[in-house]
Order: sequence, then structure tokens, then C-alpha cells
Amino acid sequence: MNQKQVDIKAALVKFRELLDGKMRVYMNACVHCGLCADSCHYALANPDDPSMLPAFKINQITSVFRRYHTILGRLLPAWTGSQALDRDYADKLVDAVFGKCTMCGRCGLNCSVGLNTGQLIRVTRSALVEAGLVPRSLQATVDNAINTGNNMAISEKEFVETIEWLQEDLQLELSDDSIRFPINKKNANILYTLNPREPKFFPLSISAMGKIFQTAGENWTLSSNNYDVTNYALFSGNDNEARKISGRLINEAKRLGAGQLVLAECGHGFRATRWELANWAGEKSGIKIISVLELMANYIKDGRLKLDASKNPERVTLHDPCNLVRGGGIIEEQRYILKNAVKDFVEMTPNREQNFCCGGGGGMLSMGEYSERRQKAGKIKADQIRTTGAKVVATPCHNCIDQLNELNTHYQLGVKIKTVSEILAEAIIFGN
Amino acid sequence: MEIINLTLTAAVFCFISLGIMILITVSKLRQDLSEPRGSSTAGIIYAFTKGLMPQAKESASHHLLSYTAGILFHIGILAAFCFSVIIYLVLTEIAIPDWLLFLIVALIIVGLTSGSGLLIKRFVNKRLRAISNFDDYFSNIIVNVFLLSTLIFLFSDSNAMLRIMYIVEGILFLYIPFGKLRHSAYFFATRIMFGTFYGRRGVLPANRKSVGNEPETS
Repeated sequence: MNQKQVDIKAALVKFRELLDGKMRVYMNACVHCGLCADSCHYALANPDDPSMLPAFKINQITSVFRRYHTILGRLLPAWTGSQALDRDYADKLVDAVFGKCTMCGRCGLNCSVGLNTGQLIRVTRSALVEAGLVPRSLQATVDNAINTGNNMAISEKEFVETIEWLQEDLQLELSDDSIRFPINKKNANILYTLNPREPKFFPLSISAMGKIFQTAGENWTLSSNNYDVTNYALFSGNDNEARKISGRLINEAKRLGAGQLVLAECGHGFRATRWELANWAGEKSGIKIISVLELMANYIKDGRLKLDASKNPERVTLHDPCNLVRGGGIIEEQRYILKNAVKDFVEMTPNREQNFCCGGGGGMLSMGEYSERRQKAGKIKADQIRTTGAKVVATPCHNCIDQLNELNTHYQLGVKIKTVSEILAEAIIFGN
Repeated sequence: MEIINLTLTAAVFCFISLGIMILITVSKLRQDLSEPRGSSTAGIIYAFTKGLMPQAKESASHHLLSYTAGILFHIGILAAFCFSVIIYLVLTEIAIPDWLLFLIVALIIVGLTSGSGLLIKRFVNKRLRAISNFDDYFSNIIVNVFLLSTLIFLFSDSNAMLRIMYIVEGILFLYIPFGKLRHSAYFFATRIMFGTFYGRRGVLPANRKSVGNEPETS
């Protein structure tokens, strides 16, 4: 937990403040039918632990609502199972909403009533932020982004050098000196963002996008200091910090005069900037924001990329990131790209909006204290992958890639994990 | 008639209370400022049609018996409410056709059986017990007692049972705004929000042919 003193009253004030119309509906709508159990990877991985049930976690939250915001809950707390929020109960809530849920939204999609459980969990995280009860490791990631401009604290110099090295490398590979990875270029059509993991650990995915932009003849640019597409404040629940982090991308796109902001392959980053930012900021973004998957699908559709699927001969399956698909609406684009770029594409079951979370969402990857639970909850994803018989798992999200890499080792899947752009770049036919 | 008037008063109290709760909720709704990708209207229509079908959600497709019992339970409750209105009309000398009475009896029997089954499940199932409180048990029991008293009156045709039926119904109406049973109003609001969320984001209803967002490329 944070060093900051725990302030339960502040949590209750925030909780009340966040009770807008939608939240009031959700707080009153759960009928405790328990039929959500089969839709949660935590509940499926821990069948003997009722506290993993989505309905159990929701009940832990709504019991606080009942205690302070319903007549019967105030008068007869034992009758309604309502709970006063004290330090002990706050700790239980922290464990439930940070340690047993990735806010993937699958239980909500399958809920008999239609409750948006992910939003209820996030509201509770927001209240716990006010109390100073955000897990320290998660907050550290947010702090990095706030203080340095990216969640991995990469300096501007180091970033620019990495991009220049990647540019030279691609020039050599394609024997073309005209290849450019533009930085801070004014009035480009596209400001492209990155996950800081890319310059730090996965530079090949930046090269892949460079190849794609070069072949498509795109007028694009990177920013030297406002490129981080991720937003861990979406997970911590701190709206102010979340607004600052995603808002920087919008401001940078406007400063550079970019035509549109293209968000890299990052599930939660897409959701935060494309869907949530306008509501955090209280105003429309005023710039077109799209996913790079939409862009790449259109390049193929418009004939701007010529592809040879035989360059990707191995069987490929696709993992759908929750925030991009169920929470973001980008569903068919990645399929369209892969069907054009690989020889043998096979779906997982279930897929699309019904796909299971890999276990790495909700900020779980940054919270080491829950890593054992995360691995266990990922078993259903490992089983899904194994059943496809695929040799390559494509996923348009670097958080998912990290979790899938861990599952690959832990469950000995023997697969390669790649971004969609890496696979697409492999299939491109260069020249005439 | 005195008992019926008291029950009517309880019903009016119930509807006004639920109405106030919904009004407070609506007054606190915030506009979504993000640019839509799909249609909220299409999402809401989906939420009340295809989205309620068993194949649309695992809570139904994986638990067909419980889901069916839940639906039949609610249909039985609706039938019993309709019957108490009809009886009120009968007392003011309007005739009820036999087929309608038969239908109501059948629906109440099925509803009572389903409701009792769900209550037993709540008592027996370890996972369900872990998420249940007194309110959950009482809400189910009071509704089942209402269905049972209606059924007994239908077969006994006694004035005493008629009084009991209306007393139970009055208690039920008084309890609805306070406990779990207020989901009767919030259910519809939740489905609207479900449809709005997934419809606006272009997730549901599913459009398997949709590719790209027509971005402005140079």
C-alpha cells in the first residue's frame, strides 16, 4: 500500500461523488443469482473459493452502498448484509477489486441482468485511491508515467537514440536510405503512439510499424516525449491522473498539427484514450482517434499493402484483448489483417467479445503480490491456446503479450507470441 | 373492500417510491462525451430482444434450468398480480372468462414451483449461500407466499383466503422499494445501460462484416 495515511472518510466521500445515475442502477440491480460464475477466469480457476465469484465481489461493493445509501441498510444492516467501511473492510475490498478481478467485463456481458461489473470495480478502486489504498506497485507505474512522460521512465535521449538505431537498421535491411522514422514532425497525417515496452524490450514491433508506414507511403510521425499509449491510472482508478496521461497524447497531436492520433497495439491504452478520456476531461477530444488495427486494415482494403500470406506459413491464432474488443469495439479488423497475412488462421473458442481475459489486465502485471493468482487464472487461456494447435499467438496488446509469454513458459505451450503488426510486416511484398 | 383498499394504498406507495428512485437516478445520469462507433439505439433494442435469449449469455446457456425457472417465476408473479386486479374487477361485477382463470392458475403453479426451486437452490448451493443475505431469502419467500395464497384462494374461493391474499400482497408492495425486490424497476434501467454501452462502442449487436473506421489516410 501507499505510504500516504489511510483515510477511510475520503473513500466514502469519493464513493458518494461517483454514484451517478449509472452506478446507482448497477448498485441496485444484482439479484445474487450467481450465474456469472462460469464467465470469470478467476472463478473458473478457483471453483472452491466463493470469494472469486463476480457476484461475491459485487456484493462486497454493494454492501457498502446499502449501508450508507439505503434506508433498510442503515436501519437493519444484518438483514441486508450491509457493511460499514472501516480499515479491515477496506483491506478486504482492496484484495477483491485489485487482486481478484482484471475488470475484463466478461461476467458483465454474460450477466443475467446485464450489470457492468467492470465499471463497478473501477468505481471502488477510485474510492480506495482516495483512501490511499492503491497497491504501491500499481501506483509506482502511474507515478512513472506522470513524472517522466512514460511508464518505464525512458529518457528522451535514450528514446530518440533507439528510434534512430531502428531507422538505420531498417534502412540496411531493406537497402533503402530514404526510410525515415520521423520524430516531432509538424503537420503529419498521423501521430503514432507506442507502448514504452516497445523501445525498451520489443523494438522489433516498432520496426514492423516502420515497414508498414513506409510501404503504405504514410505521412507519419512519433513524438519524442509524448508517445506513451498506456494508462495505468485506468486501472488504479484515479481519474485525474488518467486524464493527465491520456490528455498528453491529444495535446501533442494538436501541438504537432497531426491529422489524427493513431493508438498502438495496446488494449487498455486504446480504451482509455478513445473511450474514457473525453469523460475524464469533461469535453470532446477534438481530434480523430483510431486504433492502428483500423489503419492497417484500411491499408489492406485500399490496396496500399501487397501481401504474401505464404511468408507466414505457421498456424496462427488470435487472442482478443478485453479492453480493445469487449470494451473498445475493435473486433473484426485484427481478423481481417491476419486472414490476409497468414496461411493458416484459426480462432480460439470462445472468441471476439466472448473471449476470456489472459489474466494480465486490470494492472495485474504491475502488482507482483498477486502474480500467483494471475498465473492460475491464466490457465483457461493456456488451455484455449493449446486446443487450437497454433504455433503463433497474435495479440494486439503488449500487456497481453507479457502475460501470454509468462503463460507460455508456465504451462509449456511452445508457441511464439507476436503483435499483429509484426505478423503483417512479415507478409509485406516490398518494391514493385 | 377495506383490505383491498389498503393493498391498493400499498401499491401506490410502492410505485411512487420506485418512481422517485428512478427519477433520482435519471437526474444523476452523465452524458457520454466520447465519439460513438456504433448505435446506442441498436444496442438497446438488442438488449431487450436477442440479448435476452439463452444463446446470447452464458448465465442462461450454461444454466438453462435456473434461467428458465427464473423466467417462469417472474411470469407467475405477473399472473398473480394480474389476478388480484381481476378479482378487484370481479368484485365490481365484471365477469372473467374461464380460459383466463385457467391460464392464470397454470402460470401461478409453474411460477410457484420455479420460485420454490430457486429458494431451495439458494439454501443448498454453497456458492449461492456465500452471496445471500436475509433480504435474498425473505424476498423469495414473501413472493412465494403471495403466489401460494393466490393459488389457495383460487381453489378454495373463501373470503378468508381472499383477505389473506390481499394482506400478503400489501406487505409485498410495502417491502419492494426497500429490499432486493426493487430490482423489478432497476432491471429495465440496467438493460438500457447494457444496450447503450455495447451499442455505442460497436460491440453489440455484432457486426461481423465491419472492418476499419474509414480513417483519413494520406
